Amino acid sequence: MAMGETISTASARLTALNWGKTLAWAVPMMLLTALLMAGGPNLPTDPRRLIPLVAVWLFANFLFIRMVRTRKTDRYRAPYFIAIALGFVLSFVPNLLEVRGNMALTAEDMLLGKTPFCHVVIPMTLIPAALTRTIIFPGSILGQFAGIAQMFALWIGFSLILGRGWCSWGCFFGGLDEFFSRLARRPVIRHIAQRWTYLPYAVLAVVVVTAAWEMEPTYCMWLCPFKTVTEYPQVDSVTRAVQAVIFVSLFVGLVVVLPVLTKRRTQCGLFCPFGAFQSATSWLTAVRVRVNQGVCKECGKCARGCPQFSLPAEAPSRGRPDLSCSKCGKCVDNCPTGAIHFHVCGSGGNANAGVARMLFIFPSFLFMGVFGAGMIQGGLYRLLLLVTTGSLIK
Amino acid sequence: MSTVRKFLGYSWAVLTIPLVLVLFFGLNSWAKLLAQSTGVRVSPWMTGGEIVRTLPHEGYETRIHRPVFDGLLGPRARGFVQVDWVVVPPATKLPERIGEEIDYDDDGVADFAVELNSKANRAALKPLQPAVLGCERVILLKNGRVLRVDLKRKP
Repeated sequence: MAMGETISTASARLTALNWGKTLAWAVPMMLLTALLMAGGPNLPTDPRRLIPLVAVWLFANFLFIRMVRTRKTDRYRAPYFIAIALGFVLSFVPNLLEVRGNMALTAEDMLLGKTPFCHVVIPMTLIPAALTRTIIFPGSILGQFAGIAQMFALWIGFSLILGRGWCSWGCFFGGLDEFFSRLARRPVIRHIAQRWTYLPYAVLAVVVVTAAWEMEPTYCMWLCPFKTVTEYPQVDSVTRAVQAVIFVSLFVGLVVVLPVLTKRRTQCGLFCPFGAFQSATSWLTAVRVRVNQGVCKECGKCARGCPQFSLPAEAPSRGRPDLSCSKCGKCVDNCPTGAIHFHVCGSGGNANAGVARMLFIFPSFLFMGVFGAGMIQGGLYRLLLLVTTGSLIK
Repeated sequence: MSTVRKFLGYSWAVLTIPLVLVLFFGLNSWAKLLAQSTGVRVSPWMTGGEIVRTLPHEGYETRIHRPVFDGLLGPRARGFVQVDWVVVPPATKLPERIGEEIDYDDDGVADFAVELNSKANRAALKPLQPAVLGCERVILLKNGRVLRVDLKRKP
């Protein structure tokens, strides 16, 4: 039975989905992404805005069609995910330079609530919000751009849909270390002790407690590597200078150097407190990754390739990855026997693994495609501005 | 039982597709609903707290915020009071030097005297009662200056 299942599953995985079924999934995606990306009937008239919009729609739907037809999830998820992060940085920083003249966040900006809110702050705000009904972040509750309530609403929604899947399908920072983790052909550092995978939970505990105690988002003030490529408090004191050094060191170490050396997403898997926090929402999601022990040959390809250290050696015998699994799909793509598969909660075995996969990738890709579209378009717009005017800023 | 679980699992998986649409189409409405239903606001440690008094002057006004001692489980031992000096049109800038005595707790007795040099963005503080500890740096606004004065809570 197991051998028969192995052969049929593996051969099904190698066969491309026929065009009829592919289009049955792809056409709704094309229509929905067109509707949501355009944001209304009036398309932009400026070609520097229109071209990125059309290009991103084509890019997203090309990847989705390939994802459906080839049955490869991670291979066609990663390019869009990386493009989101690069587009985010490429649009966010020039925008800051236009609005503020530099990347530094002044005391005035913080006092007037002009700091864009990001999802990483959420775990730190929950205890103070519950006990004092206040948000310990210098943003605005209903801001025009990245307001606190908008980000919370998004977070609640994506947690129900994706759980920890946010880290591979939505996070606009995660694509940076994913990008660097794919640069080298082979890893220089192959083994990382399992104990390091507990570090994000320790970081989470420390920042949640210190934020509640200090009534300020301590991770943002002291430990966020992505301050280096977004915005940072103006360096006007020794404390601020120390914070800036920490931001840059963590960015270089965790987002650039270690991902290149290990071919893993070290910031996401070994440090990010939001990722650790988000693991707790994985039980909310309908589709999860499972290992069919009867089919698994224990070749270890899944564990070696897992970018977030979610598949320790004992995972196949346990039948599932760790809670930290962000459902990137790399292990599913890598598995030669189809033992690792997407699985709908409550259904048994991997008989309907194909259906489960589609029920996962459709909402996930729709979320990623639409949520990230504006960032990629923003990045392309800046590149077009550079080509046409010689400058990234107007 | 397993059939029920399977049905619930597939139903939830299918429902996530319209959920994405509902999430994006109604994001601003969800955000407003969330803000209104929870009643959360930005921490006074960030905003400076509510303005409780405004003192008009020639070409500018002094805004005194409520003292902020808000803590997680109750008032903290240390906090601050924020004072803003804001230009009032038709004036275009603050006077170069502003000297003022501030009664932040409105008990009729001045609590500290402050000398603001708006050109150099410096302030000199003279505590007039022991609860006033000192002041932080002057924050530059487009239309004024802000000073936070550190306080300890009165018994």
